[in-house]
Amino acid sequence: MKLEVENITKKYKDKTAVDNVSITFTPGVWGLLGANGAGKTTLMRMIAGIMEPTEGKILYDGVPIETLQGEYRRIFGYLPQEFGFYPEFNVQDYLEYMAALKGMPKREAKRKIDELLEQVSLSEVRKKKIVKLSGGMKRRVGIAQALLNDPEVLILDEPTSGLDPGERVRFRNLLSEFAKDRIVVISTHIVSDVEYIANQNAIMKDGKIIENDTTEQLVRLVDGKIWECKIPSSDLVKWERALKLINLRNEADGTTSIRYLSDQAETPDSVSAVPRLEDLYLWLFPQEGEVRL
Amino acid sequence: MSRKMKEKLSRAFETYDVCKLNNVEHMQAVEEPVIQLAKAQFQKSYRNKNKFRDLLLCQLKFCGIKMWTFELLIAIITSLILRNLLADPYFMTTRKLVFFVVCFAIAVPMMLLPFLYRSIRYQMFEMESVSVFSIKTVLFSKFLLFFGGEVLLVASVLLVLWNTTSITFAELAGCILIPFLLANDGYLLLLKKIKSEKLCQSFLGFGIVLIAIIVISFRLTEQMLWMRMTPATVVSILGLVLYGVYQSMTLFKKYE
Repeated sequence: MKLEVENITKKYKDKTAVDNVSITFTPGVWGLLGANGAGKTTLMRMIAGIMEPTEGKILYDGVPIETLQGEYRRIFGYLPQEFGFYPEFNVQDYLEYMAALKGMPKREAKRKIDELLEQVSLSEVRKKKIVKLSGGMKRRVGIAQALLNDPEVLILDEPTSGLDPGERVRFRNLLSEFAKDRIVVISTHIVSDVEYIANQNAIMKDGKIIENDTTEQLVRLVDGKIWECKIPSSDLVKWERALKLINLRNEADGTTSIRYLSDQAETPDSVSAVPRLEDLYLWLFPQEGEVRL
Repeated sequence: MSRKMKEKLSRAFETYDVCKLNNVEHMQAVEEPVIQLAKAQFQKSYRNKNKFRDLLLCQLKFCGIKMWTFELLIAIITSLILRNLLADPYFMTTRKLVFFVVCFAIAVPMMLLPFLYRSIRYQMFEMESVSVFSIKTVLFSKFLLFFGGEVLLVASVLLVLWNTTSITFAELAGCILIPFLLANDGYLLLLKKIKSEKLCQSFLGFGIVLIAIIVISFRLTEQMLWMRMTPATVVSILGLVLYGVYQSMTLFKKYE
């Protein structure tokens, strides 16, 4: 099973959102990382078949998805960044409606809805209107609808936004179990979600994929560039200007522990730290907007 | 082919007597047609389960009741307004009445627009776009449901006018049916040809153009052309009905 994206481009009048992207998704969890405006959502919408590319094609097991049409959507699950629902829908109604749109027989849909509501801990609010749910609960409804038809290809755009840490852990575990022999693509800014469960990560910048590798290989790009040290809290402002800070934590003894990006140690007591995916993300997308690549 | 089908085939091949197959070529010659047959069977059984009828029933439950309630309200309000207006001697001229009826017949299908727009407004359009039926089939199912209500709405107005005016039923039918069917056939054609994200604007534009044509033609013509049930009128009505049925069937077949 594979999903091949071949030379996909999406051009608008004033910009190119996705620029000649080629990638082959194989079974497992894929992270799709990138800053806002990198083209992740556009790419995902083209994979979902709801947006036509300007150039290029997307193939599922060697067959263009435009040819497969309904057969592709039958094995496809999608959670957009902003998923919609009619205001009169309660959780049960919404999932029944989505199950009907996915062509599921009623009996199977009922069984699956009960199972999913249990898995996403929404059984108690099944009759509650979705508009009245919290952001995190709404997101869980969205995740449940994406999993309704037991898809073989699952595309999730910012699936964990609004979820608390406990919910994010449950979601990660759910996905890890689900992703065996399935293609799961997660686009997210919460790098830690992807770091723990993604087998491979693709990083997008300005419409192109600039890196595509396993998490272990990717973090090696910033090997030897991550440092940790303690500084007097009174000097924090000075060091904030001088260094690319990743993290800082005020200690009780009047010092501040900092983690920073640099090609070399900037303070005598700096120690080299084990790089994480988030460090790579900040190295590739510095907040000052300086172009690295 | 789905993962479940692959697993089933895989298990089936494991139990096959492989001693009889002593080379790869022979294996492939047997395997390929079996896989194709299994795939065809799988697709056929899946297709049989997911008929358009199921989609229509689902749309009826979640959207149709709302649409029909809306149309019933419009029918009641229009009937009440008409009864009052028909009592007014200023309004009670045949020309004004016919103009009202013709514009009404075109405006009725346009009432589908808020329901289409709802889908965009509440971001359900994207969710409906990834349905197994395709977005056009989903929109077509809404159109069909709404059309059912439209027919009853127009019929109720027709009955009110027939009971309270001296215009004959045939003349009223001629006034209402041609613009009504023309509008609906136009929307079906747009549904077939226009990209789904541009449909709302296209429907609105088409409706406005039709009404503009009616207004202009009423200013230019003195004769009550609309009211004459001539053979040409009958043929036009039949033609529009058949065209509508043809369009519906091609949409149904294309997106099933």
